[in-house]
Amino acid sequence: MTWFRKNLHLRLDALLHRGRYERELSAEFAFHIEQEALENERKGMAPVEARRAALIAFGGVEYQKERFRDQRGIRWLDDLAQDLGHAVRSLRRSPHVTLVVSLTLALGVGMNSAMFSVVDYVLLRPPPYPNADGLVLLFGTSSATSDRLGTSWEDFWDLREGLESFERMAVFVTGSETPVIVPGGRPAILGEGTVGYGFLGVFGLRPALGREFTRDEHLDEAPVIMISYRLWQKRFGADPNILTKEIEVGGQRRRIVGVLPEGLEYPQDADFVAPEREAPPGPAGEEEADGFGRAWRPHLVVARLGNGVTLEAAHADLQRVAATLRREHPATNQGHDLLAVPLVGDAAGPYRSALLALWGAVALILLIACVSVANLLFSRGMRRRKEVAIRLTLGGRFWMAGPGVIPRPDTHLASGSRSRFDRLARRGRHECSDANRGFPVRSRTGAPERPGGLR
Amino acid sequence: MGVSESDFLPGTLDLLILKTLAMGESHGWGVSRRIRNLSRDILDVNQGSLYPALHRLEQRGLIESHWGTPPDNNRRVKLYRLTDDGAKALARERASWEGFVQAVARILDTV
Repeated sequence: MTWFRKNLHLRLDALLHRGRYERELSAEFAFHIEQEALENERKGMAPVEARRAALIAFGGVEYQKERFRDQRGIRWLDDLAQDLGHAVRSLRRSPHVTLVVSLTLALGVGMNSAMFSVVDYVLLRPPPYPNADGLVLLFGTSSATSDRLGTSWEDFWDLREGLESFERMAVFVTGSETPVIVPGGRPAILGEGTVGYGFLGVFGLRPALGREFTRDEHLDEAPVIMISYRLWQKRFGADPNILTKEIEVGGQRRRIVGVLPEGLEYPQDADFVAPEREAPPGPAGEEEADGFGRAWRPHLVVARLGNGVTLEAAHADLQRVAATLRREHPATNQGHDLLAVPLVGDAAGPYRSALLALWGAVALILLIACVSVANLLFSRGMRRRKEVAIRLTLGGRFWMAGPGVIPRPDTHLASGSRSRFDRLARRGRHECSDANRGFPVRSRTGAPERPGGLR
Repeated sequence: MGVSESDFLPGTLDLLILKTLAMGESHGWGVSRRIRNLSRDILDVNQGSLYPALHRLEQRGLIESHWGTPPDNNRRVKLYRLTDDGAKALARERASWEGFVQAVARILDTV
């Protein structure tokens, strides 16, 4: 581990202080060659000859530096930096093309990521509920409007009594923005929803922390709340002592008794939920359970189908109860029907196939964008054929020299990297040297010929 | 008598560098000269191997480098010296080298 850290440190150091590193390398090599030349002079060579022999023996300063860079393991980073530098220069040289290409790609990529986040959220992510197939939302429909309606308290009780296809059901109300004072005395605007008795039980979930509301708390609107998992994580930093805290809503301090399970998306937009007051059913004919009557339909209903009950059977059941309600309460339920919508995939609702088609279309747009850009670059590349040919001849790497991709940098040649050009130069030197062993073996002019050397 | 490059075992250069640095800190050229002189001109380290080897050993923490002025010269140069880990590695490598030499010798001496 320490070795790794030391190594990493050296490599990072080499990367961050590249200039200094290169200077040091040059200084070290220069010193070596100088000393070697001095020694050659002592052996009786003329100064110019001595220096030449030392340089030959050293074997190409740039080549040695290159080997050193390889050794340091930052060669690919060097190359990357060169390529990026060249890419930026080419982009700057032709701003119009750059603009067109960037816009085209930005459009394609942007549309796709936007579309994918919707599709992922709505269609792909599995719901976090056990046996989610059996979960439905119950809506009211009306011949007067095409909108889906909520359910009144009275209707809900009649549904609970009359329906046979569902084993559990509970009401909830989606969140609405409410000014509150959170623990610590800070004011905030949070979404307040409500849930009826047994709400989590319908989903088959348990609170992430604490408990659900008791039946009594639902009956007398106790000052207790549960907060959403997200609120707990984000605002309270997953405080394990959250259950001792209170949130002040409308001047009333309400104790946090539980945290809703992670991933639960109902009630929508609710940062915290209060118990929905569940007034006991009034005497027969009493129409004012919450003071508003059947025409006031604020509640959404989530229900779980009984074991083995199909959606079709449930629909028949709903029609039957809806017909009874229409007959018994013509004033409020005229033209009123009931609809069960599976919870899974409901977010997309009737738009599921439209969403998929749109996704496909957007993917095609990205494809078209890519083809357009490739076309543009290809036609520009044709103009550069001569330049590319020269680069390849001089040893530029093919896949970098190719038109259309990031082109091979000129700097590659200037920096004397290990190109084919370089290799040719080296081979020339070997052929001049005495030992043709395929190794850069050193030959010290003036000394006895010796094919000795170390790897 | 010449020693051909291909006859050398991998790792030998590292051993020789560690040994020369055990004699005192030195610059790269000094290491190469010491190896040459001590082997009586039989072993000659190729520069293309020497500097990468020095750096490799430094990466492994067996030697460390600093810029200073060597006693035989007034230029500031990069000086390498053995670390404690390097000294241990030298002893280890040396033992294994001697074991190797003895083993080869035993085979060659068999009548």
